[in-house]
Amino acid sequence: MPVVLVLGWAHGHAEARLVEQYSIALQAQAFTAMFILLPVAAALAAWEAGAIRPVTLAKVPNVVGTTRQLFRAIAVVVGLAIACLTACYLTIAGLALPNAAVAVPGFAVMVAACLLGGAVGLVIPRVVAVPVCLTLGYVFMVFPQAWAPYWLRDLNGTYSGCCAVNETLDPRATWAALIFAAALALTALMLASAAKTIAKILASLLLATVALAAAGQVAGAVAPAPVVARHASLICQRADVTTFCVWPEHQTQLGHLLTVGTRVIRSWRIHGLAAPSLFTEGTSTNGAVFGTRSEASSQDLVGALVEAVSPPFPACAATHIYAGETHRQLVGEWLLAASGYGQPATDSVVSHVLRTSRGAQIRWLGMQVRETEKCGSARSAP
Amino acid sequence: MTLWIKSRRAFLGVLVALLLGVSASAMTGRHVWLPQLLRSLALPVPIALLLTAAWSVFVGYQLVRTVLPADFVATRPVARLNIGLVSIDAIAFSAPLLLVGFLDGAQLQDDALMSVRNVIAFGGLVLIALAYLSPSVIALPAVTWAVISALFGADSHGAPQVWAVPIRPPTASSFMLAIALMLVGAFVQRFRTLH
Repeated sequence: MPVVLVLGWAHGHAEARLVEQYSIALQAQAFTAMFILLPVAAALAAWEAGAIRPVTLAKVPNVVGTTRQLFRAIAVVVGLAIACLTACYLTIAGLALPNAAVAVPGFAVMVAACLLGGAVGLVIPRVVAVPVCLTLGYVFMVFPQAWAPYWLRDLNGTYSGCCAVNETLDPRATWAALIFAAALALTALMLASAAKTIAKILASLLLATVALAAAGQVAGAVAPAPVVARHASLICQRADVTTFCVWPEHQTQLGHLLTVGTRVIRSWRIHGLAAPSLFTEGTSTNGAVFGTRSEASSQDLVGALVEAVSPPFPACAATHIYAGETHRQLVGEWLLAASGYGQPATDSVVSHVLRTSRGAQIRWLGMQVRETEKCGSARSAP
Repeated sequence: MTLWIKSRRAFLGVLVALLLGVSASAMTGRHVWLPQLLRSLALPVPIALLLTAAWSVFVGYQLVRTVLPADFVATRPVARLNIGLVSIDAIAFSAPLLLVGFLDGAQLQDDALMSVRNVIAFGGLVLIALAYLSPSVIALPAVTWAVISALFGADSHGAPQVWAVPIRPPTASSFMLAIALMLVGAFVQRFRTLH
């Protein structure tokens, strides 16, 4: 188990390096340690339960019921699994208060898998039960990551697609995993109960199928990633007539952003462009929406501001060949050059435009923006 | 002999191995791009690998489903019979794969040979485990090797590492390793037990 713990931690840590210091994303990545922990925990539970299998098979009156025997047999494994998962969580996500939407499904699926592993260990011999639990646990944790349909991915208690800093976990994904975990646990209890008739085993399989369908219905609406837009309070600051708002995770960037942003907007004004009065990382109807990251350079920030004021892709671009791409690139080049942070190539279109008057530049820009709204013929199906 | 055949369910075992082999041959050429833990990349893992692991679990079950101490007082050469059972099961599993492999193109041939190589290696591991480990875990080394190869087997370029033999292409050296494992398994099975 210590080896598995180290591997689980290493995996979670490797995943966590890929996300920003955003609490819910770190927590979600910490729970990806389950990829390694869950199959081993289920196999260990099957092993422990296998020790009491001869007792439960014996046709003698037991003082202690089979289910209670199962609980006693796998208690240590469940405790170890929870301890390992908690250790991974604490070392990766820190001591921050866990987000229940992420943590509860993770622990629930882990406990349910141990219960099911134990029940399998009671029903079939150890020589089969242990490798079967190891293999199926691995398949359950890893295969849905590689396969469509996407909703399968949200049932195993790990949310590796969660979350960019402007997103949060979709509650439906949490419910789907909880429903599935409850069904696994119920199936396990039915399998473990005293009388193992074919009817009971079939009923438990039917229950598992119904629960999978129910969880699939809940998770189906979530695909492809288990995320929704984040609604948290932004941190805003005003400079000149422009307000900049960032997520709390990017608060350290705010001073740098104010310096760079003010200079860019002043430069745009000199070129005759009226920039929006609000730049925000959240959703906004009257401001420009941009995105940044914790270690963004000045050039990254300028790029984010340019993208924020660039014309959006038209809806037709999803289904038709996008004819306005070149014009959109020209707009971006002009915005970057006019910001004072970029220098266009000497013989480029934008460098010629920049040598014209302010009015001519704005007329040229307006024409390019109109062209960005055009699409060509419909795309043929792949 | 009859008792041994019945206790090992030898005929059923051959039938199950054959069915697993037919299923594996139907899966030949199908891969799943599985995410590699500890590396941000995916590796194509043949689905037939799961069926090969299932074969080793079934063979393990066959070998230990009776009370093993009874083997030590048997008049028949149980150890040799066990080696024969694993070999016959391996042949039953491999036959449909070899048929599909040689009837179809080079890619399928590679995949089929990969499964055959894995069955030989896993059979050897089951025999070694039967000699040295608790009867309850004799299929575990083979299954663990398969799972660990699929979980961690890729190197930084996305190619299978040297030790991840179950997911490596069927090269001559990997076949030699598989055959060596089977021979070692047969040797320890023959000489570690009374018969």
